[in-house]
Amino acid sequence: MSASPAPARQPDAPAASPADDAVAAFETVYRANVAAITAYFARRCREPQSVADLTSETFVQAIGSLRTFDPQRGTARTWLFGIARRVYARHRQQTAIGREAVIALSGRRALGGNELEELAARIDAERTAARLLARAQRLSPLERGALELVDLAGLTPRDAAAALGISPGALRVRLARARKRLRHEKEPS
Amino acid sequence: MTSFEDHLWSDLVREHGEGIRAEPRQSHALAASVTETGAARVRRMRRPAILAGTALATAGATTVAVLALTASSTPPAFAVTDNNDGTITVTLREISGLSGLNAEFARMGVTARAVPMSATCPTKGFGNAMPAGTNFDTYTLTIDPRYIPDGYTAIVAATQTASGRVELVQAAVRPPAPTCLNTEIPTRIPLKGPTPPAIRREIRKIQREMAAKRRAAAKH
Repeated sequence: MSASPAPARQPDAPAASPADDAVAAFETVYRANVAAITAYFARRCREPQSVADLTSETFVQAIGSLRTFDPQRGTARTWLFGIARRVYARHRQQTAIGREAVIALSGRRALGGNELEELAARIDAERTAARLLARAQRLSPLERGALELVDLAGLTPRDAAAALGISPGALRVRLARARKRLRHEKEPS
Repeated sequence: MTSFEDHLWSDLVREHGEGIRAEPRQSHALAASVTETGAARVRRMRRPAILAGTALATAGATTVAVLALTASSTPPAFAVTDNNDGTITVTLREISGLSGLNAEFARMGVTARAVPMSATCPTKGFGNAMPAGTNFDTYTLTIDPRYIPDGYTAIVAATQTASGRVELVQAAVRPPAPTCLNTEIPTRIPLKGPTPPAIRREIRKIQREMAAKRRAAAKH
């Protein structure tokens, strides 16, 4: 699933080659989106390690499927959220069939104390949002997706539509429906 | 940046750096889309080919395109620079350059409009307006399409102080675009419509900054 570890370039290799530019460019993408992707998993998992693994897996898969990014179809964030959704779906499938989620991630490693704390804080920070999503269980997956990507992750409706693979018009309908239903539903005591 | 994010990044580069290096074009396309979203994509795709063929497009981000250049040696009244990252930098040195600026926007296929600010203009702020990238200190501002939702027009409102300094304010409105803007800009602009929450937060932050700057300016 994930790319096999390739030999890393020596750090003393000549700088500023087009290939190194590529790493710098990807770093921009990573820095701009890693918090949103981490939050996405923090709303779904209680274990810091799972959040770390799934976030990591999302970026590993992103690198492995760079070719599939089509700027005509959406932004980097749209594309990454598409990957994150698939990563999480697979994680759910694996846990559902009674297996420990096996994430084929060569970069997987034990988290340091700081990182554990950070991610636990992130999970805490997303707790309200997670409760909102839990209340939204009765919504259809697309309605829930629309609600989360637009209202929680802050994507534009257009980008959220692209991430969910539906038209912007269809997304607006689902978003409106999801918000309306949540308003009408009582907060569980 | 947290240590988790830093560690993950170094792991990714170490373990999967080759994968990134193998796809430089895709990596750059992704990075370009970080700053360029929705409306900008549409604008980019609609942008006439005239831009692509000029030295302007290849000149790089740092070069200011002198589009209003005449035979004289004085600096041009206005300039528009395509930063090649989805953003556009607008420079206006003389209020008289407004019409030329609009002509240039039209030529480049940019959904933006430059209007004068005056004390008598009936348009006091905009419904659904989004001040963004406001710069009271210089006569240059950058239109960042991230702050211009689909279907909105970027507005650059300009005023010239008694000392001759040009000030620019940026906003985004739903068409039809106004022809002027009252100098009295409300600091609390009602936000309606489908503005994404992240953008709303950004707007509120900018509004607070604007208010602070106005207060500071009023003291002097």
